[in-house]
Order: sequence, then C-alpha cells, then structure tokens
Amino acid sequence: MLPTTAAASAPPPLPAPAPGEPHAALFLALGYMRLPELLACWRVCRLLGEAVAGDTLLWRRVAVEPPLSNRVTDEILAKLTARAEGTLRSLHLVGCSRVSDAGLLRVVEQNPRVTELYVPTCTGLTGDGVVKIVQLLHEHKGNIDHLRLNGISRMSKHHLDVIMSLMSKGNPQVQQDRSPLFYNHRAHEVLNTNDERPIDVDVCPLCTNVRLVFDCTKDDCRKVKHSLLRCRGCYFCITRCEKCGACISSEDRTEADLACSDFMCLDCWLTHAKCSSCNRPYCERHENLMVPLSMPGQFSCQRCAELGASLESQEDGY
Amino acid sequence: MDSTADPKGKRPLYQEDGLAYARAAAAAASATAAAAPDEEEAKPKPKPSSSSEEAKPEPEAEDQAEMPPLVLVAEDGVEVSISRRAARMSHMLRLLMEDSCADGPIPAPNVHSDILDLVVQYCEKHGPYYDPEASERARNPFPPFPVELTPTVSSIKPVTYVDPDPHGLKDWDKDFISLDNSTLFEVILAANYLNIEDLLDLGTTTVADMMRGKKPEEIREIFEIENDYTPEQEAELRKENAWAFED
Repeated sequence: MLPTTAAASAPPPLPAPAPGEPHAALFLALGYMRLPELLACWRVCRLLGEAVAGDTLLWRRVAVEPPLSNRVTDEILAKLTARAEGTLRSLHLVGCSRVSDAGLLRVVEQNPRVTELYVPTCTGLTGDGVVKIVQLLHEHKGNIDHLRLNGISRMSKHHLDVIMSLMSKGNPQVQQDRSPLFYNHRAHEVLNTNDERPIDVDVCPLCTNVRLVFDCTKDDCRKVKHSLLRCRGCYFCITRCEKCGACISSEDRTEADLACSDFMCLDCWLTHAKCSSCNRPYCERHENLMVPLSMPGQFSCQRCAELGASLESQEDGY
Repeated sequence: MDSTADPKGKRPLYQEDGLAYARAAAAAASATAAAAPDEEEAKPKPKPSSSSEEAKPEPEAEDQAEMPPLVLVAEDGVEVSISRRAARMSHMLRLLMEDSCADGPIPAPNVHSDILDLVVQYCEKHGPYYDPEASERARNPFPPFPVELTPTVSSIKPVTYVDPDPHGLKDWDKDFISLDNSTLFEVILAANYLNIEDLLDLGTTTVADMMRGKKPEEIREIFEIENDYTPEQEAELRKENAWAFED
C-alpha cells in the first residue's frame, strides 16, 4: 500500500460516516497537504486532530514556506520535527531567517536519517553550521542526498569542498552528476527545485564566491569544450536574459532596454510587446506592472503612465 | 526506453496495439476513415527498427489486447467491465492479472457502481499511456504536494524542455475531477482500495487544494464537520499553534 498515512493501510473503509464526522477520504488527503493546511486541520475536530498529531508518517517531510517562514524559530522547529519521532526524512525551510545553526543541528541530532535538507535563503544559517550538520550525518552513517544552500550566509569554497567530499563518500555518484543549471526568470524566487542534483550551489569561476552558477543556453556557448572558456558564472558575473538564460553581450545590453531594469537578450526583446511611449517592454516577471491603454493590445509602462498623468494635470491647471 | 524523458510515466506504450485496431478498423470501414487512424498508420514506418527492442513487451501487449476484459462487481451487484490495458493502472488488479486470478468477477465491496464507472472511465483514458516502471512514485517516496506552479516556476529547466503532458491529459483530468464533495471522497476511497496511484494523487491533491489558505472554521463549513473539541482543548491547541495563525 502507499506509505502515506497509517489510516491508508486500514481494512476496507467504513460506510457513510456519521454526520458531522470527517469522511475517511480526508484522512488520506492529509498526506498531500502543506503545513498551514495540516495545522488548520488539526484544529477542525478531534478525529482529524488525532490523525494529524499522532501519525508520524505525515511528519516525515516538513516544508516551511512563506508566509510561515519568518515565524518559525528554533523551538517551533524542534516541536514540529519532534512529531516525526526520529524518522524525519526531508526538511524544507525556505527563507526561515530565525532558524539558527544550533537549532538546526539539534533537529538533525534527533533525526539522523535526514536525506534531504533544503535551506535556501535561511540567512540565520552559516557555512560552518551546515558543515557541522553534514559531518554529523556522515558520522551517523546517514545518507544526505540533496542539499540546497543558496542564500545562506558566510559560505566559502572550503565549506563547499568539505560538504562535497562528505556527500560523495556516502554516495559515489555525486561527483559525476553535474547537470547544467540554466537561468530562468523565476530563479530569484527560490522554490523547490525539483531536479535531482545533489547540491545547487557551486564556486563561481569568475568571482570565486559560492553561489548558484548558471550555464549558458546559447548554442555557441554550449558547444565550447574547454572548461575554462565555458560561459559559466553566477548571476552577478554574467548578465543573462530573463527569458531564455542566454548571456548578453554589452552591445545588446544598451539596445535591449527594459522598463523594469532587468536584462534581456536582443532576440527575446524583439518579441515582447513594448510601451507605446518609450518602446521598452517588461520582462515576464514584471508583466503585472503593465498599464493597459484604450487601444487594445497597447500598453504603457508605469513611468510613462505617471508622466502622462502629471502632464495632463498640469494642463488642467491652466 | 528513457524514463527520465517522461517524469509522469505517460508514454504511449501500446501504440502497436492501437495500430492493429486502427488498421482493422480502416480496412473494415470505408475510405472515410478519420485522420486519427491515418496518422497512426503512418507511424509504424519508423517503428520496425525498434520492434526488436520491444519484442519482449509486444507479445504481452498483444495477449492483453486479445484477452477478455475484467469484470468488477460493485457493492450493489452491478457489474462493470474494464479492459485489461486500463486495469493495469490498478496495482491490485495488475497483481491479480499476473497471478491469473482475474478471470472471474472481482468483488469491489463498498464501492458503488456509479463511482466504479467513474474510476473505470479514468483508467480507460489513462490506460494506454501508463507505464508502471516509469511511475514517479518509484523514485520519490513522498506524495506530491498540490502544485499550482507551472513547470517553469517550480524548477530551473533547460530551454529544450520536454513537455511532461504530451497527450493533453491534464485538462481532461481537471474536468474529470470537478465533482461534488461526496462523489470525490468516494472516488478517492475507491482508488485507494484498488490501489490506483495516479487517481489517488489526483483526488487527494484536489481535496488538499480546496483547503488552501482556509481557517479551521472554513474547513468545517466546506466539509460539514462538527467541532467536538471542548473549549479548554481548543484554547490549548490555539496556544500551541498560535505562531501559525497570527494574522
């Protein structure tokens, strides 16, 4: 049977539930709910509450996302993960700035079989702390398969080397699995990267900081064999097109001007709808800032719209 | 047979069968055959080269297509038949077929015939594209979160991104699962009993989606659940999880 909840493995379900009681299917759905909904269900009625609180299988994967992220402190995290009673497998903390190294270390000590640790933009964590955690897991013969460390503070090449060596000791395939990472206009929104790579960050070959390092999507750049000449760099070192992830040359950068101050390569720039006054488009991430005009299909950017409105009000004043 | 190309395991596995049917239908019918059989006929030309690879699954596929459909008996005695290809989607039925116990009527207690009809409809639609080995559950032990994000948002993918839904099943699924609550629950329970992963995922993520962003009172209203906590217990719970419910 499916390893969702203990209720799922029960014998044939009861017929129609008594009125006012939750249907058996709701218990099955508990395994598919995110954290806020799970906590809400806890308070709905006694049966659901017992199912939520008592079922360790539900708490094997804990994912804290905004808006709950900045409310989670070390104690709250410890309480949440205690429900798994040592069987925690996967922990996702997105942007939990109040979680510290010590808190996370305590959680991992209680649950040494964690295989997946996603802590992007948790600025309370440091490189030292993460190294300690990976070392602890290695000592307990744990198997950490997936790490996401983009955005934690004070991470250096040394930390990354130690982490990679520890991960590859447990898992010899780790070194070969370096599939290319392409920039996407949503790369800033750090959500669950569903790909199978063991670790997301790398050392940028240009600035030697530990960041997300992107490969280029242009055919010419992809064909380059020599690793030193390859078009590979972090977000700050190589300007990339918001839409297709290709590198942008300096001439293109002056030509392809965007209303939102992001960057786009010339090919993508030509295809986007532009403001009728200043001829600059918005990138996909900022599409919602477009101000529609009376002619269908035409729009104006925010700045031109404000300029137009202030000119009109000046004229009215006369 | 690259399973990484199709994360959901939706791949036209039994094209050869479809072609056999299509050729027979085209031969029997007049020249007013629809575009579909013509397209499928055009497909076998590149296929013969790979037929040697597919020699193993082919005889099995042909056997399955020829054998009679399974018969499921609902709780009200009504019999519902399901083709073998569609029955592969149910883990339980698949095991029964492998053990050759699937020849007689198979009881499905606690499942009403209307619900069984719906389930069979789902399986028939998804059956031809179902590949048990490439199923995502085998690689990822956790059930999927209800994901509203489009693929470009939820992960950084290359420009040469393979469409995970080449047969347009997602839209069909969305229409299929827009049922009233009680029917939806029954479908979930039936899928759980017959162990149909995909339908169970679909149903439960729909239910979980219904609850997104809702407070306990609202959840009680939607699903008609009575609050049987004592006021003290409620106060305690609220204190314990106060951090999650600050507004």
